[in-house]
Amino acid sequence: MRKLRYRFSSDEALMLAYRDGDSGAFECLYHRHKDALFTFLYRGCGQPNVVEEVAQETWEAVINAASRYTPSAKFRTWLFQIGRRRMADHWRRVPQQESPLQEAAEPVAPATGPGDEDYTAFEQRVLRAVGELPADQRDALLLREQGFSLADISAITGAASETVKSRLRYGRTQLRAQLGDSL
Amino acid sequence: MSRDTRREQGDALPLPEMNSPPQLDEKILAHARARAPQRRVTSRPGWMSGLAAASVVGIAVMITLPGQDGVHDTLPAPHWEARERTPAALSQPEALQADTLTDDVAQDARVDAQNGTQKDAQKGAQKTEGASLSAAPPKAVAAQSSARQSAGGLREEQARPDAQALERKMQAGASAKKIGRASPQPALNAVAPEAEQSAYRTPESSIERDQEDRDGATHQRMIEKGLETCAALLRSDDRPAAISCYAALRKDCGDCTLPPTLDAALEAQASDSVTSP
Repeated sequence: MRKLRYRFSSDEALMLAYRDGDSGAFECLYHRHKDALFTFLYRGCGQPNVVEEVAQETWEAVINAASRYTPSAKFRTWLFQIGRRRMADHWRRVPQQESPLQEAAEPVAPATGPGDEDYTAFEQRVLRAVGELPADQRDALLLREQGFSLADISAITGAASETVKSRLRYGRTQLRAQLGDSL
Repeated sequence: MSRDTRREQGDALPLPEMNSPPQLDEKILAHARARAPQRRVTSRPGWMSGLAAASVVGIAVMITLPGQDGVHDTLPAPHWEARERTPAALSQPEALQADTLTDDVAQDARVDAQNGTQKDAQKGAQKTEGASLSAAPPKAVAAQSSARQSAGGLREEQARPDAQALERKMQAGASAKKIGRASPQPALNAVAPEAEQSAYRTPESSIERDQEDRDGATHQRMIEKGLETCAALLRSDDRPAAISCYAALRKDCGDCTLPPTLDAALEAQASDSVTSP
């Protein structure tokens, strides 16, 4: 019954419940967003060990801020904002390589189009292409891939909506230039 | 728009999906449980229910013991109703009426002690004033009421000795029987207890005094009328009838101190020395 109640509660309500001491509410909230955040972080960095570390830091930041949480914005927006910031902090701490996505797996098939067998390789190729984008364009594209609206991306990145729109446009154009007709 | 739909429309990028590893989930959830803010205490301490029960019992006892209030037995209903309801609990017109009523009573007692027969006129004036105040608009009424309340203490101080003197007088007489039943009661509002008690006792004593005054006036009128009748018979040269008339008058008014003869009575009336009890 309790889990059913959590299921129909909003993110903000769950966070408030956790603030009031209900750890079950946080568990539900975590399961709702853990994979989306992990995917976002992985696409932005491509290194699973780094992603785990950054994801843990992000969720710990959420947990530590719970006691003073007030639902002034969408929880999901807030969560990804923290995640993005933690990732930036990580690359600031660790001497960054030329491109973090260079370590992503090399595509095993020519980039003529995604077949059933080489789809994973194609995904990795796209991922590397995304990693070569400027950080602002990359973040805007990856957040858009997570289903965020322009306003949400604007709130997460701190850029104006028009700026976000142009970043998305430039990012897609650049990807098309790299990947050709395969997109 | 879902990711699959967008991908079908060519809007979404073919990027890898990742799942959070279970060991990371365990670590984060354990941390969340450990750092969960303390649950707010919702259970009440045991003494609170005990206190609530004791309060209910106390109120029930207060409600079921109303008979200790002796004043309620001797006062007319409007007086003790006005006493029990504090001024703050009354609406403005009601408070004013109660105030006016109390003032009337105190004023009656003072006027009784000082002026005697002028009481009726004063009382009439007081009641007229009270009625005009009752009909006044609420704001004016409130202002007058507050002014009266502030002046009330002074007037009660003045009325207290008079009322006490009157009370002593009444207790000495036959009418003190009922008044003697009134027992002191703690004041429930701002009115001083002594002045209040004397004020509340005064109406009955006033009524009895009115009755006595009326009785005396009736006797006086009866004597005057009888003597006039007898004098008229005497003037019409019917002396036996006049004498028998006077005898009947003396017989009817056994308590009156009428002279033994008609002539003496007429002389006394002429010199205004005929008295009634």
